[in-house]
Amino acid sequence: MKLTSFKQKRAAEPRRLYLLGNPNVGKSTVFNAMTGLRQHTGNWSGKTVDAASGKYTYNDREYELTDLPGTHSVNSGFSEESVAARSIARGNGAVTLILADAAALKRGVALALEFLENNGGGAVLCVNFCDIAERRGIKINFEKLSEALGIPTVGITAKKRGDIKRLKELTDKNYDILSKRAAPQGPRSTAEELLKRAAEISNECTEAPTAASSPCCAADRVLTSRIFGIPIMLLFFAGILWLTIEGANYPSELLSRLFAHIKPYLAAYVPSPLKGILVDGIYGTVTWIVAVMLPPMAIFFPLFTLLEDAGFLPRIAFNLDRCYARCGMSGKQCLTQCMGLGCNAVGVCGCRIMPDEKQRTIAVITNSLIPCNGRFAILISLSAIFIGGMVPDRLAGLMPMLCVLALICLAFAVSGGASLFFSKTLFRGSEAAFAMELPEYRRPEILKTLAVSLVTRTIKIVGRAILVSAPIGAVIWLLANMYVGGVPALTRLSLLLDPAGRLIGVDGFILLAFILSLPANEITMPILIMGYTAAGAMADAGSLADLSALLEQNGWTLLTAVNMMILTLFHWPCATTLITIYKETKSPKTLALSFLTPCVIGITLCLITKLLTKAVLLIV
Amino acid sequence: MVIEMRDLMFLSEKNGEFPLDKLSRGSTAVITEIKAAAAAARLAEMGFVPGETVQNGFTSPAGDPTAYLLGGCSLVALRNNEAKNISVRIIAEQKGAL
Ligand SMILES: Nc1nc2c(ncn2[C@@H]2O[C@H](COP(=O)(O)OP(=O)(O)OP(=O)(O)O)[C@@H](O)[C@H]2O)c(=O)[nH]1
Ligand SMILES: [Mg+2]
Repeated sequence: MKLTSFKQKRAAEPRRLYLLGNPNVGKSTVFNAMTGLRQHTGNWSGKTVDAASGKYTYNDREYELTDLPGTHSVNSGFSEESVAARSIARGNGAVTLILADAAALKRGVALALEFLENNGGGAVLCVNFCDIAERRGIKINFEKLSEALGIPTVGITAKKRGDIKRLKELTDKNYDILSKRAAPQGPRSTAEELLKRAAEISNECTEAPTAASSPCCAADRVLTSRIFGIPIMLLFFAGILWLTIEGANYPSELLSRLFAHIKPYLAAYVPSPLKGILVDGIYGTVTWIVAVMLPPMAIFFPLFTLLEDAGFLPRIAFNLDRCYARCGMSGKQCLTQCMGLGCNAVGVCGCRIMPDEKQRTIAVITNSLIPCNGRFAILISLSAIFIGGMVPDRLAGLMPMLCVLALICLAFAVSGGASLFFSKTLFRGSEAAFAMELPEYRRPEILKTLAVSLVTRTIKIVGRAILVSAPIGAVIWLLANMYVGGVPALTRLSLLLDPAGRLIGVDGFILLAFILSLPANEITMPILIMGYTAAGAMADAGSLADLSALLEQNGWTLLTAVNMMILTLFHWPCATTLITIYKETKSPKTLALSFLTPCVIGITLCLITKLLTKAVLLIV
Repeated sequence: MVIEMRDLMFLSEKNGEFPLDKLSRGSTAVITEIKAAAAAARLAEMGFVPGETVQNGFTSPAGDPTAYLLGGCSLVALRNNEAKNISVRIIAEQKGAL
């Protein structure tokens, strides 16, 4: 039986399914539940910007499911939404699962009606969020709904396994009938007519309690209030940063001690000609990244995901829209920047949610002014060493947090300034509009979110950093140990860059580290450390105290640290981000601007701090 | 029920239309017309169509974008310069709202 089913699978093309729906109705959640994959989900409109496919088997038949970006209308012209329309048009002979939100059924039904007008059938209506509807006392008559629309209809809660199974069963049963579409007929209705019909249908099929609790809740009045709105947001962010810095300290220390402990044993097993490159080069770099980068990321990103799942991010965009408006942009840019905090390449892709072409280009160019997690960890360790070391122990936890917070605010402010500059010069005349949905607050499933974001984001990002850093660690080790005229090649290169470095208040090693870390920002610090250590390999500078001593030995002052942080914020996007920018915009001009903008800003700021320091020293 | 309330309001309120950005916080109105033809399609997609009820939910700290509760189910933020292109007629006024 096994064998035949295998053959059957091989013989037949997989049955194709598409997930269509308004933004934020749980398409990606359903996709993940059906295929077992891990598309990112989040409680705001526009989380998914690109179609993704996955396979599953039900009843011995293979299905290929495609998750689409959320859309309000099948024929919409927005770039974020046209992906949906294009995919479906290509998917003739497939079945579309139209997802709707039980608490806003009307909108889902309107989309279904439009889809049916366009395609003459071939869809299943799948009403999600039944758990929330039930809690509010909303009852939906699915049989009636199915009759009214003429397509199979099912109510589910995306997180319940049984419900997902029912959905699979329903599609399996109806696939053959549904995939043979009738030709679309009749004139197309306007959005207004569609919504009106949808309202009639959904009113007939739902029983809502008379005192329907509106989603417009008291929490929003506080979170967006004139007095508390912005301070609360900052407090939230400061709290997350504090937890990250305090919480990462201990595991970081522990990991670096562990790695240092293992090192001699490892060295004993490696044949001696390879010892240097393998143990000092690769092992040293990789373990530094794991010990220093992993703990803060493993704390910050899961916490940030919790805020995202609760529905907090769009409120930030809402509160700050006025500031963005002043810069000729829209609050939606804030969402792309929040994604950029995780990874600038993701942030750049996320810019597809900006409906205006010019604003989108500006958002792409300025995204890498926001520090991604790789640079974030550098900022945290530097501020722990230099700022935390300057204040009494009592404040040692608080000061680095405030410093990182200030740096991030600086990054947002600079990116606003750059956006303003571009919207007044190169990309003038963009449309000043901001229409954004604010999702309902939802209680995130804390444990699951933490686990998933740890696995999907942190481990993946660190994994990529390790993959990149291992070969680079080897190359740097070679450079540090290849003597050219009695001096290591690495030192030679940095001496070459030294005058330029000194000019902006840093040194040649720092510039070299930034240049060599183009493939991934995470490796800036390991390269720097390897350059500094005379032996050409990392003297176990795993712990912050060792690192601090090493940096001071190499003549670091407060100015060096500050300028290093500034350059960490603003130098150039990493290679992955640059490639993504080109893929997204196909414009060499945008690519060049994306590269040069942070570069120019970073150098200018460094010059300013250097001149200021000089002035202060002269006066004192 | 809504219809009755609307009729009642007709008697007491000045029977006029006004732009959405003038709707006071907490008050509910019904959309009568979308004036900007260029933006109409996009607004319609978000759910701003004539006949839909709209309630002023809350306003951002700087006083500009305002979140509107549309049709009692979705919350959409609009800048005032866009909201003024939407004509509404009041159906339930909230007095002394926060
Ligand atoms: N309580 C509850 N929450 C759900 C359910 N389905 C999804 N969610 C949550 O709703 C949010 C949005 O889900 P997504 O899957 O990202 O929505 P989407 O439709 O893919 O959104 P876009 O990609 O932006 O169009 C997430 O925070 C999910 O955890 C459900 O049935 N019940
Ligand atoms: Mg999605």
